[in-house]
Amino acid sequence: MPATNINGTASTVVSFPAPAGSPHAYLINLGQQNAWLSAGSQCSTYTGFLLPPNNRIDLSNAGGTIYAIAGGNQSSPFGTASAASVPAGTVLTVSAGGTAFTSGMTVIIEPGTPRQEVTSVQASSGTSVTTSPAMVFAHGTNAVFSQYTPLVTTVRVERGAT
Amino acid sequence: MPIFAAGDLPYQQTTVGTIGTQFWTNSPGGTALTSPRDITVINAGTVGCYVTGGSVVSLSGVWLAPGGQLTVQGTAQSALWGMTAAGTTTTTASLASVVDVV
Repeated sequence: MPATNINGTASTVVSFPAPAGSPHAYLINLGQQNAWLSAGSQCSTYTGFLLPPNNRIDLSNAGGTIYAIAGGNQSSPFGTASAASVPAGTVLTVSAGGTAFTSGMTVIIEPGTPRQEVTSVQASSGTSVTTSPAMVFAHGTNAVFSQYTPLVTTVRVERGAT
Repeated sequence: MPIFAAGDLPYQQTTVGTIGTQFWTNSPGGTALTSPRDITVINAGTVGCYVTGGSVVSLSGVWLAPGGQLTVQGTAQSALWGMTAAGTTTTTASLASVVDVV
């Protein structure tokens, strides 16, 4: 049965819907870190359904695509936006200290909120942090962000249709 | 004490709508669970809903189709929440196993 490695950077499809019939799916977290499941691609540790290590969830009717994401750990540097950003925006404006976020650094924005998302630093200056990929959500003034170390785990799916 | 005492296992039946609603608590029958238990949720309504372990504020989590059932095994979930995209449905949540039987 397919097992998918997932990480805390971006959601990954772990189960596609069956092409016909009444589908069921059993999802098992084989790894040592938490996984979060979602029916949408914008899965996060805040909005997803927690599946701890060695836990399993049985879905009697898994008609849609199932995404999963792992967790991660926040660490320094921490930043606070001094201006709002828009969906698909790529710049977090800060009053100072933007250079602490170096190119290639993974960052998490507004953790613990529905707007939580993970992206990477493309470039920075004293007053801005440019992200790539672009941010999905809008973030207001005072939105917090920090470096983020994604974790990994493995979700196995056993599925079929009747 | 008999393994299965008379009476139904505590279950929680809840109407879930477009605002996130908690339909499972960690105290079925008023007694707090002290160890992880399996939990089964049945969507007894005609509208699908999303299920998460936290306060649902967006349409995310696991999709539970009308008439569908999900069982979380060995769960550490202390609460389950649901939310529909439109309309209301009824969820029934209950313990799915007894883990303290020796």
